[in-house]
Amino acid sequence: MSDIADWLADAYEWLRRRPWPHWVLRAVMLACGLAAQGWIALTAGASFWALLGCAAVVAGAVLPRTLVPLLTAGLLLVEAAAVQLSALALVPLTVALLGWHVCATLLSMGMPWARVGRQVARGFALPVAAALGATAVTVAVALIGSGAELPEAGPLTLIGVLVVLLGGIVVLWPGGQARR
Amino acid sequence: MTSAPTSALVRAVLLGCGTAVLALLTGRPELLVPAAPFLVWSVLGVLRRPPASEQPPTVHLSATSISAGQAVGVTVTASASDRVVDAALRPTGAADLEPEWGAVCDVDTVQLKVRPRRWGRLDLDPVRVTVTDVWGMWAAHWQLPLGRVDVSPSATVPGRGDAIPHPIGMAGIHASPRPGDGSALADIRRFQPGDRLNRINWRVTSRTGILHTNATSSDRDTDVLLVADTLQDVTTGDLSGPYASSLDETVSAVASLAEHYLRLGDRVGVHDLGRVIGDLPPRTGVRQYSVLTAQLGRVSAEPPRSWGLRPVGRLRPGTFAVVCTPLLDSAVLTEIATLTRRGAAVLVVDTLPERLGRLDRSALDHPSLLRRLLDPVPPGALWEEAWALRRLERDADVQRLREVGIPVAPWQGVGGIAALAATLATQRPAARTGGAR
Repeated sequence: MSDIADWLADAYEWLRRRPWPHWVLRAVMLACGLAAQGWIALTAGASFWALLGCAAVVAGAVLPRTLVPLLTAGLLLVEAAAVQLSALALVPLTVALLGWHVCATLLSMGMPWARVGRQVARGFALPVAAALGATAVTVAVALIGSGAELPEAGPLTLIGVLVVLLGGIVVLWPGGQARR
Repeated sequence: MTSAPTSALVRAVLLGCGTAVLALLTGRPELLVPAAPFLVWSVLGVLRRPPASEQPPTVHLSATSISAGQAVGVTVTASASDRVVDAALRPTGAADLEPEWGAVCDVDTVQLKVRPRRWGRLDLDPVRVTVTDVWGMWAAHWQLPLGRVDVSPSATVPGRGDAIPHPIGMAGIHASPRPGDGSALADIRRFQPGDRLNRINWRVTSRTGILHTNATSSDRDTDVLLVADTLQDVTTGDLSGPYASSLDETVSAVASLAEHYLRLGDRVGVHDLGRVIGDLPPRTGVRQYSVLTAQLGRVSAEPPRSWGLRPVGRLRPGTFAVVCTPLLDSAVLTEIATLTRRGAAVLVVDTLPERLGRLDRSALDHPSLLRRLLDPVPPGALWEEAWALRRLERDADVQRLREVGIPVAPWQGVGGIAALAATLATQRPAARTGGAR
């Protein structure tokens, strides 16, 4: 009984500590995730994966400061690749996933119970605009080059994979200049 | 300290690269559409990497010495522009924080407020600071020391009065029973050679036909000894508001009385019966009050250790001694009797919290509904009944003190004490105060 009472008190304290903008961000994040999953289901039809995606979206909105938002977004992208959405159909999914990512980023800034100033959210205007611009350019390029045939897979694919992996390592590696 | 990529940058890189790899592996270039924004985000993140020359953030305390009830501001400023500063203080029971949970996050500069709940020294924990670039890509973590804040007790207690039982100084504002050059009319007597002509009472002179003059009593200052009983600190966990403990009430009474009598020009000294706040030799002037408040502000308001009572040392007969005590220790009662025997005009201020042991407690002290539901019989539920019994025992001691002519009054401000002092002054026989007339 005492354990249940302690658990209830802790849960109540956890809920009480979060400021209301925090809950608004979580709601927007949940909406973005459900919109992405809903768009895939709408385009390709409901399946077991859609159910799993919804559960992953809810888990990601509950735990935005962990790896779960990354895994959820990965799952949605794999699902989109599996159902073979067209370039145009991928645009709403991309925008929803971008919203998901921005909300998760905002929720991970500062302590979970911190009062966050409005300037912090405004600071994201430029990368969001750049990301949306990149999406538009890629869609245009994909539409223009949709008739082109890719060369045979094999060496080219392997080289591409290696370049992307090396690029990721270079980006994430904390270099000596960043040390203090 | 390393400026590390945040989870946002890691997510963007892995999603961008992963989707690009998927596009290459499946031979479907349209998958680059969802990869592109995350790749752009990653590139922007690399470009925003903080330089190695960036300095740690600075922290500034608005004051290191404040009065009880005031707040001290903690300002954290990033060393470079376009940085998100997240500062967090660990909530403690010793101070209220603003924002309530002690964490704030904003661009370039953030401010927290710390409002100590008690007088005395407040050692602040280091503030945890995370500096992130404005896009949340790179973060560095710091722990910046804050030091301590000295909190002097507040002395803003209403009520005034300048009566003193037995002024023993040379010059001041208290009416003394001794004849002399003062302002208070003491008598009308026959004119003697040497009397001032401007004090001749012409009405009495014309009525009696003999030259009469007004005699005045001299105005003097005095020694005021404030005796603080810091042997115990009595409170209960759910008491709240001002004077929540006997030590709080004692220290507040000492500070208020010192401020009052120093303003009247008296020499005020402090004697600590325990070893918590320390002694202060009698001196006069505003500086003495500053010294006292600074001394009280540096005190650690932890529960006092029981080192036994330190008796009052040197004492001028006629000193006005105000003993601030919760009257729970028999040694203190003995010390009060000793002070009276040594010729001091003693007045006792009862500093046991008024609400302690009162069974009709205010709604302020009742636990919330949720707390009562979760813990219907909390530990120490019968403390109030125990304290009510202790109060009954203590009432006998208070009655004995009153019977031997030592007034006892609860601490309700300087006004009540000054009124009692005036009563003491009128009751005191002239012979004991020096027998002037």
